Amino acid sequence: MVASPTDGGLSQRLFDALIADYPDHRPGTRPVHAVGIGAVGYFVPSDVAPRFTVAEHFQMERVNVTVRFSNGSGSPVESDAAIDVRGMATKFHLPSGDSTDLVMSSLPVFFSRNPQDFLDLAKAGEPKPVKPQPRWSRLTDMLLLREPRPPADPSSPNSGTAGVIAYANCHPFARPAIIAALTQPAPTSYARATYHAIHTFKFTDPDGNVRYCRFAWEPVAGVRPETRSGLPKDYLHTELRQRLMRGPARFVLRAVVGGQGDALDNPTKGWDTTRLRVVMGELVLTQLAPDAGAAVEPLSFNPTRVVPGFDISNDKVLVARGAAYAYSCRQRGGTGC
Amino acid sequence: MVTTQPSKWVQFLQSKLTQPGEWLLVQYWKHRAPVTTPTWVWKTAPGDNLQQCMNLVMPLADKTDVGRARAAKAVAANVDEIFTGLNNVGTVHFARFDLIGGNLCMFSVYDGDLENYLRDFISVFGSVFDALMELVEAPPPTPCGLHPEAFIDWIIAHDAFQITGDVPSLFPDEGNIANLPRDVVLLLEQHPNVQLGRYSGYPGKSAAQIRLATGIDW
Repeated sequence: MVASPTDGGLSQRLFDALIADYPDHRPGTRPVHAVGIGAVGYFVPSDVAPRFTVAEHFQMERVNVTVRFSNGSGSPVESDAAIDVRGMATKFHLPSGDSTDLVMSSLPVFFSRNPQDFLDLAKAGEPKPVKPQPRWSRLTDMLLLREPRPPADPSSPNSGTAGVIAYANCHPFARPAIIAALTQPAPTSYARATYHAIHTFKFTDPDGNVRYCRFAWEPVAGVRPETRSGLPKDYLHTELRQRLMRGPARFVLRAVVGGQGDALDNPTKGWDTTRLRVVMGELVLTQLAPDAGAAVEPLSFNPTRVVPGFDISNDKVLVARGAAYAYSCRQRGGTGC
Repeated sequence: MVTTQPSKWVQFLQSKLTQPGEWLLVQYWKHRAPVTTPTWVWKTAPGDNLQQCMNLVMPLADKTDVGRARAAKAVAANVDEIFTGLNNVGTVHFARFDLIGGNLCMFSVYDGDLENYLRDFISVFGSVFDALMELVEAPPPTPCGLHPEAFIDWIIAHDAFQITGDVPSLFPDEGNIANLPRDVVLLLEQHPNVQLGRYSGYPGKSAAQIRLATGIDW
């Protein structure tokens, strides 16, 4: 079950705002995370998981899953080596025929406290012509003890980065996510990055106790950023294909249980590393999705598609994402919207 | 791709000028745009009361090997008192003394509030610290049991600054994120000793819970 789409046109505005940030957006594709690759496998819940939630997929011996890895950009042009957010969306196929999703990205926190923040940021990030940084400006940066700016991408004369930085200057809450997004290097593999659910969810245990949790997929192979240059633009896809031919890729699902004073409905704020951390299970990806992912690309993944025992919090961004993802899915003719 | 290396003369000049140049820039900017050290309120939510870190860096008055040996001897002479005291405090996950350069350091992870932890210190092995305070630079008045507030202030002043969250949140008043690297430089100029992040293998659990779960406590 996903959040109600009756949101007074907010979903459409969010969708349109994202499309405006990517002038080369191709109709029929996702507005962001446009380039992706599907894989299939199964999830094995840990022994302790049923103590924390009665959600169906944590009670079973194993659950089949479909995963879509992606690059954050809404451009249909693949650029795996680009500094960008990576996505990992997971669909748990329940025996009843229903499903539940976990939608995660490599960002540890989010840009926006509410949908209006997100619209403002998307507006600020609309691409504008970029001029190369003059030499005198580099010298000024050095004297100001600033980091040297990365060189402009000659293949992309327009960029929204300056607007996003200007937005961050006026909105301190957005800085951790924006700085992470602007500096996060590409991983060596989709299977060697950590992915965060960003929002807070609610676990209900067998005694009816409710715990507020955040989640992350942690790669068993370890996190490794890419340092080589000159890689093919589709190297992440090629690497995943080769990796899964050699053997499965594994991730551990960790839940972090919120403590007193933690931001439960504000995804721009991180939680302290001393919070209780629980291993909820292991994901085993065995092969790429059949038919080159033909069934995965149109498939809807929705962070609010949850089941009893695993509920969404009052996070306004999460609620808005639920409706916006459903709207976006219908706009692109997706499946399972 | 052909990369052009700077000539040996340019490399030599860079190596000789970079550090003094950076030092001058830091001195200029610390007067022109000083940063404010975030208070403890910045880093703590009410739930942040487990597995807190204390990184006490105490500069020795005598930094020679003779002085360092004197400090090592002072710690060794009080091992029983330290161990029994830490057992009696009951909220300590681990603690250790290190000699690092000319500093005697005590690193520990404890549950609860720092001031309460230090008051427990004074109560259960204050005499050890009285002995150690004779060896450090600019010590607080001793015995610490008679001057607890001065002792606590001194310890807090010598506890390494902790950066355990995201860097941008350290400087909420900074109007330009391009200046954040400079803010970090100026913060480090204020705090030569800094803890960068932390990891726990069993987060969210107190020392008492661990002992109870492992069956080594009553």
